[in-house]
Amino acid sequence: MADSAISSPAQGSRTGSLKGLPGTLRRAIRQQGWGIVGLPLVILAMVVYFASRSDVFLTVTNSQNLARTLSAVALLAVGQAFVILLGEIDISQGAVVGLVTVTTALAVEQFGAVGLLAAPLTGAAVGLVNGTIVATFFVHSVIVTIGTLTVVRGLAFVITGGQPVTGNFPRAFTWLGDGSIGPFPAPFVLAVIVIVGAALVLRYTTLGPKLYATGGNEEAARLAGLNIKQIKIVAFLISGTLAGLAGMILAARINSGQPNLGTGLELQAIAAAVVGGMALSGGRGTIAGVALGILVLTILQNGLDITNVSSYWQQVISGVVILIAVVIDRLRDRPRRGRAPAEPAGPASGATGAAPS
Amino acid sequence: MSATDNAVRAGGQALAGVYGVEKRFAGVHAVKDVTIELRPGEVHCLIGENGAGKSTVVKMLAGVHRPDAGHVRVGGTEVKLRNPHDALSRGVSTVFQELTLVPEMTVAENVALGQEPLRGPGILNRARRRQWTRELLAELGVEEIRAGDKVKDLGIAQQQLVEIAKAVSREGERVVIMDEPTATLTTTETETLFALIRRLRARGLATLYITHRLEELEAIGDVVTVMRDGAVVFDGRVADSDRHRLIEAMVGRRIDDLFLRRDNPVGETVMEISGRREDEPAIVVRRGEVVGLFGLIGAGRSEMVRSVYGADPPDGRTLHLDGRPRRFRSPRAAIREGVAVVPEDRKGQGIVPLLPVATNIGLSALPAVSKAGVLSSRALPRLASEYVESLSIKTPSVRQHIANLSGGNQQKCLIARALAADPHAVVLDEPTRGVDVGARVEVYRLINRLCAEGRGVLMITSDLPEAIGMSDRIYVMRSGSVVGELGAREASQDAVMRLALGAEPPTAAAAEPPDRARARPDVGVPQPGGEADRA
Repeated sequence: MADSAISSPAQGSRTGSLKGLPGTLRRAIRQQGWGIVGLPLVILAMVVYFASRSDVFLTVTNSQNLARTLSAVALLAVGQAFVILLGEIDISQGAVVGLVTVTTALAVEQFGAVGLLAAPLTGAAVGLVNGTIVATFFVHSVIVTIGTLTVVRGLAFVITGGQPVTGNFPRAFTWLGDGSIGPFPAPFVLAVIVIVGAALVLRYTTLGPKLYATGGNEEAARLAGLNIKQIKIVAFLISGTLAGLAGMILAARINSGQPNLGTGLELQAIAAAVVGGMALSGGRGTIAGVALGILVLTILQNGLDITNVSSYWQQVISGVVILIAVVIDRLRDRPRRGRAPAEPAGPASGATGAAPS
Repeated sequence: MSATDNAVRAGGQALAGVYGVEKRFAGVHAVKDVTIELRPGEVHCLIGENGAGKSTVVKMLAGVHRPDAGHVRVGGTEVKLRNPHDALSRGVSTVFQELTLVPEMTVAENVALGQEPLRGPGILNRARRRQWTRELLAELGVEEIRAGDKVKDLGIAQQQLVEIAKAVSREGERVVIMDEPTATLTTTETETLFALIRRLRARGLATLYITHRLEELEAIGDVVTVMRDGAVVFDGRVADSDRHRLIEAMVGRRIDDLFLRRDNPVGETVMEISGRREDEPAIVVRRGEVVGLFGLIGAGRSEMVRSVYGADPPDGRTLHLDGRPRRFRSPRAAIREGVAVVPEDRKGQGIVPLLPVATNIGLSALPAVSKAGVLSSRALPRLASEYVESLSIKTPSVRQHIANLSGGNQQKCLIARALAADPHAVVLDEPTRGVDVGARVEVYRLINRLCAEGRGVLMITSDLPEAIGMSDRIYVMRSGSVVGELGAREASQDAVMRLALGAEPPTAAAAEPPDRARARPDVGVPQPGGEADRA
């Protein structure tokens, strides 16, 4: 605690010399670190590289294709961001996607366009269960959501008997997969609305400070009078609901319900969030960062596709990029306090908040 | 103070030291041309306010930071300490403010970490390790800590003692550095620590002792160096140093009286915490007064208050607010009804380090700065700015991360957070722990302001002069119960301490074990095989 007035060397060294940069950018870098310009630079570099390697990359068709692809992962990553802000994680998202494609396909077949509501509702239900268990019984979300993942995936197979749900779906449903608003693919528009909405929620509603405070220091937030249980449930509710929306657009795109769809998607979402600067320990990160993280991973995948890199190598490269990104993020974060590692290990600041004395 | 020991020291070659060291962090000149020599058999006190650069000097000796200019010497030769291990292997060990124990491991495992006794290559000698730790603890006079205890089951103070035991256990130990070791210790525990330090001194070790408490300096120090704004502003022998000069050197101005008297009127009772039994006095807090709650660590003050305001499950006491009984199931409920709390562990339970000052201040008042959950764009910064100004919180902006503020300013932010909820009663748990002298006065002034505004203040403190200097009345707790109430006039240090220790003068004083024993009811009760099972 002593000398904290001078214990912010990193603030300075991290942002080093900023002369010659425009004022807004300088301020942004000073507040958020180089990551705020790092990811855009990475994106720019990838675009330049892939554009030079392929004539197709910068075409309208490919851009639309890319936008369509990233929509589902974007919805999941934004949902994940709310949970990760609390230092929790939602592994069940991929399974929710599978279940949702099934329930939505069945509901739409039965009730027409109104049946689309089944998607957010199914997702919200799973989110509610996740959040309630995590917040009430203090079980870590990794294991809770692995549990619900298994249950949910199982339910999807139980409902369908393992068969895809196909049928004659109304246009409102299929439009969500292949439709467009102007030049923009419909699912992409939905993703942008959700991203902007989430950013606004974190910035302009009390949920923002509540999430950051709870993730940053849960015991402090509780003693300050925040309703921790409610906050956790809300975060998982949002993650589940957005997973529901992701399932909806995926079902619309393949025009059927697939109980095994979405396997592993949650890992892509988590990776995008972390690449975008979310701290898995909670309390740090922005939706803007997550959006950049999504772009990095999707553009990489699309570019590798287009330049005919084999899908096996694509996996290897994506993995390496994720590792590099998180290591850089870690390095950027490390010297923020003189003795960063001592902080979480401190006996008095256990996450469970056991009171000393 | 300890002139007798000085003969041992006289003419002793310095065991370690920094010579003309400088350190800059991102343009901040943290340490300016500092020279400190540590001699055998001598306790060298380094004092100064937070931010004076003491810890930076310590870190240079400990191998955490390297000086930009000047050099470090150990054992008479100039050395470049590349990392803490380097320093350790040269016989310089440091007890940092943050404890570095592994909570899930036993005391013995922690103390022997990195120097485990072996039976053969890679094979632990567990019995030897336990025995060795037990001997070490006995030698240091802290037998009540058992080698087989898990560190997480010990109180903070006991953990501190284990940390020190670990530091002085190394082979070839020559220099021990302690960075504010008493910040979390009670008076009795501090005595234990001092006895330990005196033993180290007698063994010819050099000790660098960082503190901001002058009483400790007088009790234990041989030589004193005062730092302010990164530079040495005073050094000399403790015996020749006058207290007022030291304070002036530390803060750069005179402090006439640490505790400021209030003359505001006292109103009706705002908060009352009933006793659990007939004979246990209720704690009564009236509007406009400061009520001290004193006790040794482990006396159960924080526990009692935490359960009363809903942070922990109820413990059988009832809280009356304005005469009506209240049972809070969460701190949120307590805050809503007008009881605000500034918790004891500022880092662990108070601040959210990654959030700016503004959000930290407004955390308990989010409904007031929002409509239907939507934050109004200017209300929060405005609220925070008002408090930053009126409490003179030193921060470049309300958007500054609170982690970058000094301890005293963080504490003021937390008091601001409590005030923003506009409480009738405020519970301050150790409000000046780890706060430097200058900021302490401001915290006291702030407490007086709370009173002047007609709020009732319940102040938990382990600092006896503070309890007596600030309180209108003092309640004393021991072993989980309130054992007495003293008015401002009858509350001498002696009277309060006697109540806290449960000592009937004069005979019982000797028979009564240190408070630590009471903190853990199981101590002293023979537990067959208990230790062996765990080890």
